Amino acid sequence: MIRKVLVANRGEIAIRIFHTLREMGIQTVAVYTEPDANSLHVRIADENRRIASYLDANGIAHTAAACGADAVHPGYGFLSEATSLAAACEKAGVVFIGPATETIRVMGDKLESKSKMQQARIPVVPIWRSDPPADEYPVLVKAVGGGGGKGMRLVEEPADLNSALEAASREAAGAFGDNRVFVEKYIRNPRHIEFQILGDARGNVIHVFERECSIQRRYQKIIEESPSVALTPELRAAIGAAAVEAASTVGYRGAGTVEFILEPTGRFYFLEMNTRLQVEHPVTEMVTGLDLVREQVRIAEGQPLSVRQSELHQIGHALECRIYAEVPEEGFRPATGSIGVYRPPSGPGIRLDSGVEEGSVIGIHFDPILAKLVVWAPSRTAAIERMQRALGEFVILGVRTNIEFLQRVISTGAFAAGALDTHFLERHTEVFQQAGVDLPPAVLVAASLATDVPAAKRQIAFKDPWAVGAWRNT
Amino acid sequence: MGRGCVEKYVTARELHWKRNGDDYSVRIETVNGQGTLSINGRTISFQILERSPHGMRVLIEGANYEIYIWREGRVCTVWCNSATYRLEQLEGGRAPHAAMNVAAGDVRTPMAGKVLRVEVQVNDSVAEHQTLVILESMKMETPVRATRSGRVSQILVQPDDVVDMGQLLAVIE
Repeated sequence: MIRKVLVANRGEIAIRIFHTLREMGIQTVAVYTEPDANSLHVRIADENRRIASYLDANGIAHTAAACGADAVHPGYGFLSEATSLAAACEKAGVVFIGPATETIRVMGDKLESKSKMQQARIPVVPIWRSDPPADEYPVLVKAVGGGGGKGMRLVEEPADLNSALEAASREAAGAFGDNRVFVEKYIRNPRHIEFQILGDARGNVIHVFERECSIQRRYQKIIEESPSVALTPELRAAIGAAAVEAASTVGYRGAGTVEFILEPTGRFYFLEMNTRLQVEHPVTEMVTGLDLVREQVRIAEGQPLSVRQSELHQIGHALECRIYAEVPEEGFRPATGSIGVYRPPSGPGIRLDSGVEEGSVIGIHFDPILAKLVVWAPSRTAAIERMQRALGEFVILGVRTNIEFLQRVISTGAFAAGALDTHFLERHTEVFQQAGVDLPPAVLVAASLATDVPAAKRQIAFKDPWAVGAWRNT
Repeated sequence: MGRGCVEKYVTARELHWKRNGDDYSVRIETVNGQGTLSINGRTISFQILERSPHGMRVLIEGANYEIYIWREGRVCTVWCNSATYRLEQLEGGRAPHAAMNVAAGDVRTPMAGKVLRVEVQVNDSVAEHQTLVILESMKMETPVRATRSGRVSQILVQPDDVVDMGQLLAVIE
């Protein structure tokens, strides 16, 4: 029985997890480092504890034990896929809400996980440890311990392979402390399709359908949806079965995601498995009605899954846009500042997982995600229209965001047609053009009235019916 | 000031803005929420329907503009009907820099208007959120409250004074 949980994370995901814990009657503990002392996630938890770093596995596990928490929820990012936190929790006698340490290790190793999948006869993207055959080019050079596109390089010609291997190895050693790299076949114009998985301690594994996450920038997703327009019922069943098989092969316990890439031909390949709650998990919750965090807690308590595969259905359509503090028009550079005006959208079918409020300071210390705007509607078209409205009502001033950029992306004909692949943004460069060159006079009125004007520039006159034009400088 | 039976007041201001390489020289006159904007020889009438600390609703030729504003230094970011505009204020109408760095004890007007009453005196001790000044704007009375607790060290207005949005009313130490 879990009565108290420490969430080893910050921002929107910590808050989202607190919401479910509170619904389950579980006490919540937030952790924070100095820049986050006044952050929203710290203030909404029942208790909070300062830690040295969100990456300090032993410190977090000890803090959890010291404050009487039964379990630690890692969220996503930080230590969610590091064996160190799972192991430290085990040592401290605290439940780690996630899979077994060994599962995290195997699935975190891109080479070992692929060979495990091959043994289970799940299609994987061809990989080589050294020179691939010349007719397999272009290829990608990837870091064994990498993620988020770091240490990744596209190589078009065999002649460029060696220098790419060296550079990637150097970058990987610096970023992940592991210089091992490998070569992978490069799939042209693929879709990113992933399946949500749930496995309990009794060996039951189900999938909770797919999410399509093809709209990416710098190998990071920015728009996700469920269902995917690319999946026929047959293809959905086939990839879903492969995802369940992938998880079962490693005795998966908890919530996880099996990522695939889907070729335009309909062939699919295992890419990797994320052994944690995914950023984009809300779209799955919106179309199925399941609360994935509640399932995670139940599984960690040793309870069986609350649903069977046959009881799950995808209803309607859900879309998620990640709201980042960044400037898409300037190479997606992260933006900093403090949020002066924050007016979130509301209304039917809108869910906002937010980690900020008016006054929040967006610094350089952490990932610049501010919030996730999620909508549900009965159809994909209605979901896009709802997202357009919601983005159009979302006001964030004080720090620059990608809100208008997202609006332009979902308003393209290609997005409406569902013609998506992971190179969408490279091809649709028009979405980087800021529309609306005209300046509405109302903007000048507002800016001018909101500006302090020195007395010498300000004229105040008192008009009375008998003295016309009596201007006076004050 | 206190000029007896003043029924209307007019404020006029001239500012220079730059956006995407274009310059805008603006003259604005307002009379109790109604106003005109003169820009490059063109004059546009507007009406301020509503004003809040960071926003306003403006009516121009029957169209409704919902607006939010954030200022940092000389850059004014304006959200208007789903689009965001970044304007830079140029020399000439430039505001004093100190006005941007609002000190915690500075009490400023949330909107332009007329001072109806001043409810405290210099050296009074005040609690946070205590009403200091009553403003009249768009035919409504609006209390301006203490931003913090402390002692009132300065009061810079008196009844019947006409004040601009953001103008310093009092200082609490």
